[in-house]
Amino acid sequence: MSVPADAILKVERISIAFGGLKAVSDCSLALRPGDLRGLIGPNGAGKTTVFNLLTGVYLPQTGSIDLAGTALVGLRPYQIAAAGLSRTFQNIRLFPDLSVHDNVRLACHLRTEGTLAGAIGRTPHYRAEEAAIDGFSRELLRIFELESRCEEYARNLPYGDQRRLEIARALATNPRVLLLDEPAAGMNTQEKKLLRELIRSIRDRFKLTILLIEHDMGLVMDVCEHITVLDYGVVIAEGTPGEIQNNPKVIEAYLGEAVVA
Amino acid sequence: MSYFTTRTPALKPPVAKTVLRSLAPVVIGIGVAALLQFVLRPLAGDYTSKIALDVCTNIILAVSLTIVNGFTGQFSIGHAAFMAVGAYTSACIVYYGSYYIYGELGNAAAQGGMVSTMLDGRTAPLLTGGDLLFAASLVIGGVFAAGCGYVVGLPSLRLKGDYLAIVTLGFGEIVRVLVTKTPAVIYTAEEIGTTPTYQLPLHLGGAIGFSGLPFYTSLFWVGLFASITLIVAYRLKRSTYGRAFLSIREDEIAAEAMGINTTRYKVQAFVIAAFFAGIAGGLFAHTSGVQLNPGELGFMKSFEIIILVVLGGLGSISGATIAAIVLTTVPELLREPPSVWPYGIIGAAVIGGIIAVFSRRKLAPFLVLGGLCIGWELLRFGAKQAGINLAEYRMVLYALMLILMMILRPAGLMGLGEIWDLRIGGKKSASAGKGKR
Amino acid sequence: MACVGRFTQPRNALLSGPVLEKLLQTLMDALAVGSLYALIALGYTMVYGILKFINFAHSDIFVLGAWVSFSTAAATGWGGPSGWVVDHPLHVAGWVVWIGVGLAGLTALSFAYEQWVQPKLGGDVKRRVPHVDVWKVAALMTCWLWTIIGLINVVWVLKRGGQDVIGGGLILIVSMLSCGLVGFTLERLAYKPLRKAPRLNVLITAIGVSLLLQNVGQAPWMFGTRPQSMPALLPTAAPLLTIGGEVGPGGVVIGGVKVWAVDVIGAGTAIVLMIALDWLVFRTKMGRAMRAVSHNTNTAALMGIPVDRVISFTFVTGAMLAAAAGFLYSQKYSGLNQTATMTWTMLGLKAFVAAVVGGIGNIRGAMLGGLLIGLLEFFGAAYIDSSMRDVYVFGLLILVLLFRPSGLLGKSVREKV
Repeated sequence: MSVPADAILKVERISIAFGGLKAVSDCSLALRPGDLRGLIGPNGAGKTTVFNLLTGVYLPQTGSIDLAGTALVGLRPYQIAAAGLSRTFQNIRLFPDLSVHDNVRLACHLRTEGTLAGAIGRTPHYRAEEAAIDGFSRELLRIFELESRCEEYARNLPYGDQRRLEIARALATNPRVLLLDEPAAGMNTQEKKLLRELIRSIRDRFKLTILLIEHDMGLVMDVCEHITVLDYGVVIAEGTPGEIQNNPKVIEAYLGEAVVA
Repeated sequence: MSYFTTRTPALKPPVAKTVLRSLAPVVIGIGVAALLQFVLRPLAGDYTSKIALDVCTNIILAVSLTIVNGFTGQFSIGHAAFMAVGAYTSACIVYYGSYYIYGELGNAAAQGGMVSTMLDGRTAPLLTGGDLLFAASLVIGGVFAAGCGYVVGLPSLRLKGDYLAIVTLGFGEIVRVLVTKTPAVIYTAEEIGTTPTYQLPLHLGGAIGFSGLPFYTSLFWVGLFASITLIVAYRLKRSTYGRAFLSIREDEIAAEAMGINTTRYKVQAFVIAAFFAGIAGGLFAHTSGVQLNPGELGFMKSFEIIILVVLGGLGSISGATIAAIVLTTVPELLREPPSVWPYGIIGAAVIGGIIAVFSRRKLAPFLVLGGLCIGWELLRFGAKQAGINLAEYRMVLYALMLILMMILRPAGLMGLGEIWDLRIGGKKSASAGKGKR
Repeated sequence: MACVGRFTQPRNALLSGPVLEKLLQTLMDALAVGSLYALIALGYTMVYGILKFINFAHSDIFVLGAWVSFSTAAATGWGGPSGWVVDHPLHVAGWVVWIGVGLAGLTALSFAYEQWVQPKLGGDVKRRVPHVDVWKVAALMTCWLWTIIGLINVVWVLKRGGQDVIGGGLILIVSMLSCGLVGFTLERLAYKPLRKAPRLNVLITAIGVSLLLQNVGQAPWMFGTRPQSMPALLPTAAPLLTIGGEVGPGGVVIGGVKVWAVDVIGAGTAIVLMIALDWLVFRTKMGRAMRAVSHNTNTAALMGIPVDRVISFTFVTGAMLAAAAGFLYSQKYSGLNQTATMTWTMLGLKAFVAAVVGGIGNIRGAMLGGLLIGLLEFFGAAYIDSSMRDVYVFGLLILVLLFRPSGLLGKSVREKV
C-alpha cells in the first residue's frame, strides 16, 4: 500500500485501544483528491472509531493524520472541521429543536469572520455575511431537495430527509474531505437510488473527496471507485470493488473461515 | 476576506444608517426609558411605579440568564453572584465617589437629575454629574461581573451539566462569604480622607450590608438597560452567533464537529450574561427600600431568576420577559387580591383577541384566559373564607407552579420559540412542547 | 448511659498539652459532624446513582427530620410545656390524623373502584390509567401513616412512664418513618411523571420541591416561623469521658478532651446505619436490583426488576437516612431554625458537596466525602479562620471538580458517538 504523492488525506498507522480492546491498530489510509473511497468491514470492525479518530473525538495513541499539509492529531474537533474535514454521524445527530434552515446555516458559521460585537451591532459586514450564508444554505437545501421543509424543526423530518439534511449540514462547512457514516441506513430502495446519484453529484459539484462507511454492499460496490476493508481494527484489504469481491480474506472476514476452506 | 463575503460583495449602506442601526439598542432604550420616566411615572402612582421598576430589573436578570441557561444550555445557578459583584462594585464607586466629588454622603435627591428620581414633583436639571457617575458605575459593575463570568465560564471547559451547576453554585456561595468578611462601610468624610484609596473598595459592610447608598435607580435607568438587554439578546439569538450558542445546547458533539468552538462560546455566553446581571445588580443596589447585603443575593435569589427563565421557556426571550412581568406583579396582587371585574376581564379579552388574530387556534386562548379568571376568583374567595393572606404563600404557589409546569408543559410557557413566532399558523408553538435531549 | 469513667489526673504530659487537646477535640467534632454529612450525602448519591439528577429537595428532608423529631418530642411532653405546643394545640392529633382518615378513605374508594366498578366498565385492562393499582399504594401509605401516629402515642406513654431513653430512641424511628413517607409521596407525585423527561426538567422540579418543603414548613400550621429549642433526648449534660485536663475548684474539670455522649451516640448510629446500607446495597437482592437500575434502567426493567418499586425504595432509604441525620444533628445543636433559613441550606449543600467530592453515585465515596468535609471544615475553622468554613468546603469542591470531575472514587463516563 504505497502512499500516493498527491494524497489529500494521509492516515499513517493510527491506533487506539479502549482498555484491553484494540479498536483500531496500525490503520493506514491515503485518499487522492476526488477519490470516492468506501470503508467497509463487519460489525465492530472499528470503522466508526476511525471516523472518530479522524475528526478528533478520540485522540489516536499512535500514528499521524495529515489533511493537505495540516497535521490533525491533537486538534480539537472544531479545528479539524476548520481544516476542511467534515462528517455525518451513524446515529443522526442533527440539532432537533432548530429549523432545517438553521441547521445548515449554523454549519456556515465556521467560515464567517464577523465578530460577536459586529453581530450585535449589525454592521454592514455582518449583514453581508448573513445574506451570503442565507443564499448559500438555501442553495444547498435546494440541491438536497429540502427547500420546501426549510422552516420545519429538524426532528419532525422523516428519516431519509434527516440523513440528507445531515449531509447538507456537513457540506455547509465547506469541507475538502467529507466522511459519510452509513448514509443509507434506514433508507428504502428508492431513496438509496437517489442517494447514489446525490453522492456522485456532490463530489463533482463541490470538488470533494469522500470517505464512505456503508453496510449496503450494492451501494458501496456501485458508487465507490476504491474500497478499504477493516476487520478487528486492521486493514485487511484494499482495492477496486472487483478485487475486493474476490479477495479471500474479505470473504473470510464476512462469512467465516469454513466457506473458504 | 471570509468565504462568505467573497461569495457576495459587501453592501454599502449610508454611514448614518449604519451607525444608527448599530446604536439602535441605546437609541430605542433611551426612548423607552424616557417614556417610562416622564410619561408613565407621573401617571402611575408610587406603588405602581415601584412594581414597574422591579419588573424591569427582573427582565434584565431573566433575559441575561436566558443567554446562558436557555441558549447554550449550560445550567448556571449562581446568577445572583454576578449580580452581587455588579451591585457591590457599583455601590462602592457611587458611595465613595460621591465623597470624592461632592465631599459628602451621596444623595440622589440632591445630586441626581430628573432622570434619576422616583420622587414625585421634584424639579432639577435633566442630567447631572451624579447621574453620569451612577451610569458609569453600572457599566463598570457590569464589566467586573463579566470578568467573574469569564472566570466561572472557564471551568465549563471540563465540566458538563450538573457539575457545572454545582460549580456556579459554589462560586456564588464563595462570593457571598467573602463579602460577609469585609469590614464595615466608612461613614465619615474625615475617615475616608485618611484611608488610602486602594483600601476603600474593601469596606463593603460585611454581613450587615452596605448602607447609606443614594437611591439613583429610577424607571429611566431600569427601562434603558432592560431595553438594551432585550435588543441585544434578540439580535444575538437571530445572528450566526446565536445559532452557534443554540447548537451547543442541542448537541455539543455535533456542534463541535460542525466547527463550533464550544468552549469559547460557552465562556462568551457566561460573560455576556454576567455583564447584564452585574448591571442589574448595580440597579438593585441603588433602589430605594433595598438594603444591599450578602444574604439578599444568595442562591435563593439565583433560584428565583431560574424560575423566571424556566417558566418562560428555556431559550425564549419573550417567554422570560412575560414570566418576569407576571411573576413580579402577581405576588403584589396577591397581597390584596383585586377582583378581575372589570379590568381583568377587559385585559383578558384584549390579550385573547390579539392571540386569536395571530394564532391558528381561535377559541383556545379565550378558554385558557377565561379559566385563569375563574381560577383567580376562586382563589380570592377561598382565601377570604379561610382568612389566609395569600402573599405569605407566594413561594408555596411558585413552587407548585414550577413542579406542575415541569410535569405538564416541560418546555415552559414559550419553549424555545418567541411570541412573534406564534403567527406561523401555530405550527411552531404547537410543536414546541417536548424537547428531546 | 451514665458517665463511664473520668480520668481526672493527666496520664501523661503529651495528652494534657493544650495543643494536642485542641487537636483531639477538633478531630472528635469533625468526625461527629462528618458522619452526619455522610448520612445526608448517601441520600444524594443514591438518588443520583439511580436517576442521574441532583435531588435538591434532599436537604429539606433532613431539615424535616430535625423538625419532626422536635415536634414529636414537644407534643409528647419533652422539654416541659413548650410554647410551640400551646401555639399548635392539636398539632399531631389534628391534620395528620385527618390525612390518615383521608388516605384510608382513598384506599377504600380506589379498592372498590378497581375491584368492582372498573371490570364492569369493560375495555382493555392494559389501557387503564394509571397502570398501577392505586389502592395498593394508598393502602401502603395509610398503614405507614397510622404506624407513625401509633408510634407517637407509644412515645407519649413511654414518656409518661419515665422511659425516656426508649422514648427518645423511638422518636428517631418516628422521624425516619415520617421522612420516608414524605420521600415516597414526593417521588410518586413529583418525580415519577418525569421519568422520561430531560434531566434539566427533573433538576428544576427538585428545586421546586425544595422550595415547597421549605415554605410549607414555615406555615403556621406546620412548624411556624420562630426558631425553637430542641429538648435533649440523649444524656448530654456531662461529658461521657474526659481525657486530660485538671481538677479545678469544686471538682470541676478544666480543659481536657471531652467525649460527649451525643457525639458518640450520633457517630455510632451513623456508622451502624452506613454499615447497614452498605450491606443492603452490596449483599441483598434489593441492593442488586438497585445497582442494576443504576446501570441501565431499561435493561433492568426487561430483566423483570420492578423499577418503580426500586426507585421508590431508594428514595425512602435516602430520606430515612437524612431523617436520622436530622434527629442526630438536632441533638448536637439544639437550636432549630425555621425551615427556610440559610443555615439549613448550607448544611444540606455541604452534605451535597461531600457526595460530589466522594464521587456522586458512589455509596462508599459519599461516606468518605462526608468525613473529609467534616475534617476540612472543623480543622479549617479551628486552625485558620472559623468564619471562612464555607469557603473551604466550596473551595475543595471546585478543586476536586477541576482536577477530578468524577470525584475521588467515581468513574468517568465516556459519551458514545
